[in-house]
Amino acid sequence: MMAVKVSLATLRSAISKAETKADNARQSDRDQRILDSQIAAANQRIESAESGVTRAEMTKKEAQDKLSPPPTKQVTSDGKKGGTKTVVDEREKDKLQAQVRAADVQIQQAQGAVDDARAEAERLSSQALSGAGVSDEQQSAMGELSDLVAQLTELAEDDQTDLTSDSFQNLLEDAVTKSNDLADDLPDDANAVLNGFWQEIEDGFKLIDEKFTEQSAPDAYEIAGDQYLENYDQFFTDFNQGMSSIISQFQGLSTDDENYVDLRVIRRLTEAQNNVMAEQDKFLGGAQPNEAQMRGMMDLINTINVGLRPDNGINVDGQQVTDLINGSNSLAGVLNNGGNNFDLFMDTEFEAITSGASIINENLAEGTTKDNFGALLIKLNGISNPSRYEGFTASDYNDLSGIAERFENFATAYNNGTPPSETDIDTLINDADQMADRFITDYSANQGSSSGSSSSGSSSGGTSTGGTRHRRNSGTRSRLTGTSRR
Amino acid sequence: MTTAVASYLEKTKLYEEKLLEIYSQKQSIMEVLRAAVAQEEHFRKGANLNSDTVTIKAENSDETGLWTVTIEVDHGKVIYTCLDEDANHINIFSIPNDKYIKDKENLSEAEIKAIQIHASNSIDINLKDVKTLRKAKEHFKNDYVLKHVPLYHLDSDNAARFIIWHIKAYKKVFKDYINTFEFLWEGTSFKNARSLAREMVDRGLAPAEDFIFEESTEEAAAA
Repeated sequence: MMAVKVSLATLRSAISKAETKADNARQSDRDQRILDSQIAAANQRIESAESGVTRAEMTKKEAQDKLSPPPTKQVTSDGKKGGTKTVVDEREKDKLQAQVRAADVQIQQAQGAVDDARAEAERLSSQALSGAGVSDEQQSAMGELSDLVAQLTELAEDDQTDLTSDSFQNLLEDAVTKSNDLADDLPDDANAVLNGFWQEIEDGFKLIDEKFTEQSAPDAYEIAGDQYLENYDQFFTDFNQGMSSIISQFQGLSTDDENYVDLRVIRRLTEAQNNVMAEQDKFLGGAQPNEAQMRGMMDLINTINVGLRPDNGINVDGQQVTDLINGSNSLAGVLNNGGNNFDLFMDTEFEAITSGASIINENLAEGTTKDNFGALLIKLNGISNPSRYEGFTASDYNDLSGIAERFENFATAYNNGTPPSETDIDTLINDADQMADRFITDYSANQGSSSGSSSSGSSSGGTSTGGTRHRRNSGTRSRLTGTSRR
Repeated sequence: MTTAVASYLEKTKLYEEKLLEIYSQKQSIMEVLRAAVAQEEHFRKGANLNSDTVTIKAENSDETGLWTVTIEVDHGKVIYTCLDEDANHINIFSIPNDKYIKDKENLSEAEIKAIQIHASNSIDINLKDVKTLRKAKEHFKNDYVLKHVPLYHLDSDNAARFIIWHIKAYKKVFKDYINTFEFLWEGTSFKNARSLAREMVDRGLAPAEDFIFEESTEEAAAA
């Protein structure tokens, strides 16, 4: 990328000056309008006075049409047989040709009058400027700046133009210098022409500013479809790279650089980076509403990275860095809780277990297996409160989802008249019990109330039995989230 | 006065306002302006040919100054839209009327429109690029509307010639008109005599009865 000569800050300062000058000049716009309407009224009176003088409408076109073919007339034939013959009517022809010539003269007269009118209008406009205290030299400078800004806006509107190129930057630098000089020199008197001039300059610079920002801004960050509801691997990779790039660029800046930040900020950025990265192995299935938050952080990272790129003329806004730190820490907190929809996912798994278990329990014969099964159900009910699972890992969610699926499958098998063997039931009891113990150890999952499972279980029962249980890597889960994500 | 100042002043509204005021006081300009507007209205009103079975209309846009020529017959219309000032790049579009659609009374408005669009043709040509003309000839080979223009016995060959003949004929007419009258609005924000005259009437600089303005296609579409 070429070095820019006019930073956005300089351009925006020029816009601000033009805006102030336009405001100053706008104040007596009303007076000017009154004057203009008086002039118009006077002209109307002149027009009325002259309206009695009318000349025949110009008939050049009609005359030309009649001349081709030329007008004819019937004359008595001088032949032996007498009768008539058709000949060119020379008299009529001359008359029509005279009309054409007259029309040409009229047009020539009008052309001359238009030339005079242009000169007069220029003189009057110029007088209006001189009346506002604008010297000939200043008028000349206004004209040059106006042309320059028109040229720049035309270039800026062309998508092919590289706004950081030397040719564009040289023109822009020239325009900004001229604009700033004129802002100092031109009077602040209220005047419609000055107002129009400054408005034009302001609009032109604003358009360039807009296009420059557009061209510099990175594309909006998108979380790839196949990352969605998985572990957001690509997001974590991009986030890590983006934050590392920002941190290393800040570290490389000297104290006199406009974007310099002190070590405390760099330290906070590093912590924020670490906080988010600590969540990459967590279960994030409930994070879909946070997709926007994740994208927002990436957009911010990309914008700051562009701002820090050497010589691109954009200053990093200090507020953006603060937003990045705060936003990253907030995002880390949400991700650590499995996302805003975490409870729904967990309740659905436990509800699947509960509904499967009731069918299995009804079909089990009295005995040790049934007793063990009953004890397991009490234990599972005791660990079903989603609020206990802070920092729940993706691996543990897979285990929970797998156990829930086995409960469902066994219940289906009983319903289909193909009951599982007692050994299968014992294995399920054993696996589920081990998982519950691990959850109790790792998450203190048996602490506090277990109402989360029973209450939400009843509310989400329809979802579970309807075959839309949130199962990791299962098609049914994406169908449900597919409806909620957009 | 420097060129830059003149150029700046020309762009200002004040200059244009002054210019119109001066125009209104010059009888020779107003007469030519009336003639120019009358000519534009004549184009817009159109000419009836072949015992009134074909109407040819032309108008230049108040917004862009670009020309559109429309050939209307009972079965539909063919519209030539100039895409550049020199009238070299042109879009040709034909669309049948709904009048002859079978069982029209049993069809919904959307279905009728779908049939019309299906039977329509559109192509961009460049009069300086013979390939595009050949393409247009092929494209309009079986065009429903062209087949029903009773000026000629059209086969695919002379249907294409017919299109080009009209474009070229009108291009000459436009050129003549522009060469004669463009000096009136050249260098201003106006694109034709009509828009300039309208502004004068609106500003009270010219009596409305001096000019008769037919509704333009753009205005009709907006309405």
